[in-house]
Amino acid sequence: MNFQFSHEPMFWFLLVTFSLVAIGIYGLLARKSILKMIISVEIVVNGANVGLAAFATQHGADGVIIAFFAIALAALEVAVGLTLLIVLARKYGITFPEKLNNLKW
Amino acid sequence: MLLYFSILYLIIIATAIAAIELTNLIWVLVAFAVLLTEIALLYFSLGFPLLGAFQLAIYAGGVAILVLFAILTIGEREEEKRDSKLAAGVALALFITGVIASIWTGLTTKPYLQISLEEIGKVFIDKYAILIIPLAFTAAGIVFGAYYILSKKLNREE
Repeated sequence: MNFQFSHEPMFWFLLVTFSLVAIGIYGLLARKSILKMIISVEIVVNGANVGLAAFATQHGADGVIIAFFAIALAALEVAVGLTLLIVLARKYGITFPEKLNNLKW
Repeated sequence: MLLYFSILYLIIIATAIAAIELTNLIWVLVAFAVLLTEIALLYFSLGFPLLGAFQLAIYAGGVAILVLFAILTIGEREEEKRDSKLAAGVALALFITGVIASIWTGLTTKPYLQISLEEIGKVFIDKYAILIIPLAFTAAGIVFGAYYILSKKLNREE
């Protein structure tokens, strides 16, 4: 059986995009844990990447290349976010953003 | 193909919701890793094996292990509850707006382009290679900014 998409409606993939973006936004607004907020942002980025890849099948390779850039930057953002989270958790016991109100210097 | 896509879609949505809603962080990570792997499968099925491999290596490999490391380092903390009705409303509104907009714009589907790796490389070199330089500076700025904020903060506390 062939699992390669060849003429399926674009709406299917946009549905995946909208669903993932909506779930990610929900997680970002409804969760208090920094870790879950980072995961929510990643879900939003992945939803956007699915849309880019789907549009690349119609308009050329640009969407795929932008998706590559998005994946690289999102990985960087996770690395920095988790580093901040680990330092804040170990030093101050903070894992919730509400308590993170003293970054002024 | 509808059946295959439906199964893929259901797994993606279920794991995304599980990654947000579960309270045990290890299970959150498992759901997140499955979600990332299924999205890589979607890329493979769309005809972009390099993007799928990139997704598997960086997201399902690197990011998932980073999150695991963070969970094991900070341990499990009890999450405070927050009223999520507004958030659910915003997310639902976003989803419905997207669906209506895509139907309203009369999105048509042409036969899929067969994009080879050579073509991706050629477009990258022709159009996007110059972007690597500002991107590298942005990445360095992000890392240095995080380090600067933390070192200032830690020095001040000491």
